[in-house]
This record gives sequence, C-alpha cells and structure tokens, in this order.
Amino acid sequence: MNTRTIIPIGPYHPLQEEPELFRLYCDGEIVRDIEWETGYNHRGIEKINESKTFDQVFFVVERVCGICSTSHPFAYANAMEEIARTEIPDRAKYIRTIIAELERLHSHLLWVGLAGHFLGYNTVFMWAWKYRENVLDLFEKITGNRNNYAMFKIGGVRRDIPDSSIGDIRKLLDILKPKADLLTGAVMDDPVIHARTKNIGILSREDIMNYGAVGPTARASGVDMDVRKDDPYAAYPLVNWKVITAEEGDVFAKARVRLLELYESISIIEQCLDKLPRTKEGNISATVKNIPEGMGFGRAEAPRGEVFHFVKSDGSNSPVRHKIRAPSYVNVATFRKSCVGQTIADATIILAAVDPCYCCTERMAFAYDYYSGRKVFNGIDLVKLSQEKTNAIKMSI
Amino acid sequence: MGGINYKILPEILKLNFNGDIRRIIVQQRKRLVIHIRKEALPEIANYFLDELSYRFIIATGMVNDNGFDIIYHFSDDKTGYIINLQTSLPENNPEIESLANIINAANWIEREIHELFGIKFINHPNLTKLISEGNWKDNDHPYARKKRNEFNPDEL
Repeated sequence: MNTRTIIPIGPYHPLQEEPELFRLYCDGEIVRDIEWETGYNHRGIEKINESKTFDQVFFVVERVCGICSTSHPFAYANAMEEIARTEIPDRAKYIRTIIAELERLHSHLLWVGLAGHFLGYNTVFMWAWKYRENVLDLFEKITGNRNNYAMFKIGGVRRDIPDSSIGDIRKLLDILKPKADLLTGAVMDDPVIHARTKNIGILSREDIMNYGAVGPTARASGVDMDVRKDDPYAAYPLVNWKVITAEEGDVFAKARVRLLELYESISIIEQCLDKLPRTKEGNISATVKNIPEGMGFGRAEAPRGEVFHFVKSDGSNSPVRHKIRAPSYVNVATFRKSCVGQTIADATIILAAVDPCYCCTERMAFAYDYYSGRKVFNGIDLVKLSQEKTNAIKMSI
Repeated sequence: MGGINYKILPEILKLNFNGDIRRIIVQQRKRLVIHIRKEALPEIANYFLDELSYRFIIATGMVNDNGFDIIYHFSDDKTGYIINLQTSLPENNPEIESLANIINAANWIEREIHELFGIKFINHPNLTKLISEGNWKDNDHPYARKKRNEFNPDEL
C-alpha cells in the first residue's frame, strides 16, 4: 500500500516571514511531492491600479514587494516610457542604475543572511544583516528612506544626487567592499556550508526553460539570461560589467552567483558615480505631457530575476490593464522539480534558495467567512478597528 | 535557433501559419503584437518555444467590449525581443486550449486567469483556483467586471 506522510510548513510558521503553505508529501525522510498554496496576502494591486492615475501607480507598485521596492517602479517606468516614446536624460539613467544596484546589494546580503539562518549557521546571518545596514544608510543618505524610496517617475527621477555628495557615497561603498570579501570567504570556504548545499536541489537547464525561471535561479543553472544585458535599459549599456553564471544548478551555485554579483553591483555603482559629474546637475527628468493610447512592455532585472510589467492605456489618465509578473511567481514553481527526491532537512534550504518573495507573488487581501459567505471585515470596519485600538493605547498612556 | 531576422519574421509566420495570423503590429522597437486565431494558439506557441527557443514570460487576461482578450508574452533572450500572441474570446462561454501541457510555466497563470476572469482552459491538468481557494464564491470573477475607475473595497 502506498502511504505518505504529509508535513505542512505554514501558513504561519516561524521559519517563514510571510504566510504561505507548503505541503510536503513524504515517504520516510524523502520528499516525494510538494504542493504550494497561496492567497493569504493577495491585495488586488492590478485592479487597484486601474483606478489610479499613471503617476499614482508608482506609489502602489513600489509596495508590491517589501524588499525590492525599486524593481517594480523601474519596470513600470520602462513600460510607460515605451508608450510615451520618451528618452530620459543621462543623469536620470545613472541615478536609476545606482538605486537599482544598491537594492541588489541589500537584497543579496539579506538572502545570504537568511540562507545561513536556514542552515543553522547564525553567524552568517548576523554578519550579513549587520553589513546590510551600511547599504540602508546609503539609501537613507541618497533618497531619505531606508525602503520605498519613491525615486522614480515617468521621464526620470524625483531627486538628484548632488555632485558634492558623491565623495561621501564612495566612502560608504569603500567600507562595504572588505566586508563583502569577508562574507564571500566565510561562505565559499566553509566545509559545513559545502556539505549542506552542494549537489542539493539541482535544477537542470531544461527545467529552467520549462518552468520559465529567471534571475540568479536561472543563471546558476547555466542559463545566461539577464534583462540588463539582453534588453538593455537605463545606464546598463553605458558601463562595463559581466553576467555571472554557474553550471551546477545546486544551492551552492545559487549562493555563489549572488555573492559574485555583489562585486559586479559595487563596480556598476562606482562607474555610474564616475560618470555622474559629466552630466548636468539638476537635469534629471524629461517632460511627459500626456500618455497616448498604446501598450507598453516594461522589464527590469530585480535581485530575484526579471520583473515584467504590461500596461495598456487608452489615452485617458489611468491604465486600462496593468499586469505585473514578479520573478518569484515563476521561480517558486520550480520547487516541484528541486525538492522532490531530497530529504526533509534539505527542503528548507532548497525552498530558500530561489529567494522566494511571497508578497510579490500575491496581490489582494479580504476577509470572508468560509461557511456563511458573509464579509467579516470591510474597509470601514478595519478603519474603525484601527481607531479603537489607537484610542485604547492613548487612554492607557 | 535564436538570431532570427525580425525583418523577415512576419513573412516566415505568414508562410507557416497562413490564415491563422490576423494582424502583426510592431508596437515599439523590439515589441511585436501578433493577433492570431484562438484555435491556432498551441501550434504557434509551440513554434516559438521549440523552434525558436523563446522563453514564456506570462499571460495577461483583459476585458474588452465583446468579451475577453488574452495576450501570451514570449521573450527572446538573445535579442531582447518580446513577442505577444493576442487572441480574443467571446463573452459567453470563453474557452481556449491550455498551454500547460506544452510548457509548465503556463500552469499557474492559466489557473489565475481562470479564477479572476472565468476563462476556461481546455485540457488543463489541474484547473483549480490558485489564489483564493476556499475564500471566494464560485462563479464570481472579480477581474471580469466591465466597470473600471470605480474601485470600492466594500463592494468585494
């Protein structure tokens, strides 16, 4: 008789920072099948955007993902500039590229920390997140925010990086470089990490094409694919850098790709800072008067892979349809391939290896009673609830 | 295999799929929208995926005046082109052949479009709800409403 144990991970689980449910169908120690259930956090952003003006959409898409809050506005800006057929000033291109690469730095550092944590190697977690603080400080210096930078708009960027502050930014970058060396050494040479991650969760080139996986997940399996090179945008064609790939396709290869990308990102930022003073200070935005009827297909390489935005406009001031495809949407589907046949102990690091971001994947939230079909909370109830709580806190002080 | 000359792509497509191609629109540089007959979708998608090694990005469902539009987005990672296959479905009983048996990446998005727009994908291996299993009334498709610009969370 064929009996299998079901091990649920989630929907609310201390290991995962966001709600999602994995069902591992196990035969002894070996995972035989995996099911994924989502929808705990869907916010309906695609539909909400139809009721916003083109400029307001930037602030909504920035909140699609909690970690890579620049990649979605970047892809959306690319899509809108395709519809409007606008060429943005060079200075805006460099600033956009600097922000996007800084984001890759902080996101990869965050992943390295989490991966160490999942392996039970909390020293890496502490180090990586400590060094990530420096990147967030840089963000605060440039944009005024540690996350949700609100830098993008149609035709350019909202804030300039003054030439006078470039020296300070460089100083912070210089602090970061030896720390990246330290971290890379700690991960690449550690025998425990080798034992836990090599030959684990292998994805072949065919799997990548079949599941349409993108980003470091695809590059670690030898698929040389990077939107920054394939379909160049912003300042990426103006600077020198190379696409990092690995052939093995296991968890270690994914870690190596991400760690080596740290150096590429630092190098891109430095080149952009070199070229920034050659452009006119303050010339950061092209004027876009109206958005004509048309379709825009915008892409950007987020830390996790290709973000795809499709916008259809009909000449009015808001989108008719806005489709968002986050990289985790296709990367998470590869679990069926990478987890099956592995042990339960390895499943967590395999799940973590694609750097899944669930709030990217889902976009709507509502509360319904399952049995009666009655709404449990609507918008007004939630506001009321929030006000009551605020008042209760005020009273207690 | 890659490196295809996009100047002659329209002619190649017309040669191979004469009658199935309705219109080819060059939207922008590197962006093509190809309107096709819905019956020919698996054949043409297979041509792009197998013969030309394109990557499946995603599909988009849309509401139009007479029913629905579906756009399938494909990417050529060697040249940066995005090829979009667009097809229209009637408002009553919208059905289209599933691509999930050809390419796995289409599995989830077809479930999502089925749930949000009520479009039926024929021969899909597992056409269940993707995001709101157990939370949403059956046969209520939130994105299929024709109203726009009037988003009201209390209506949900």
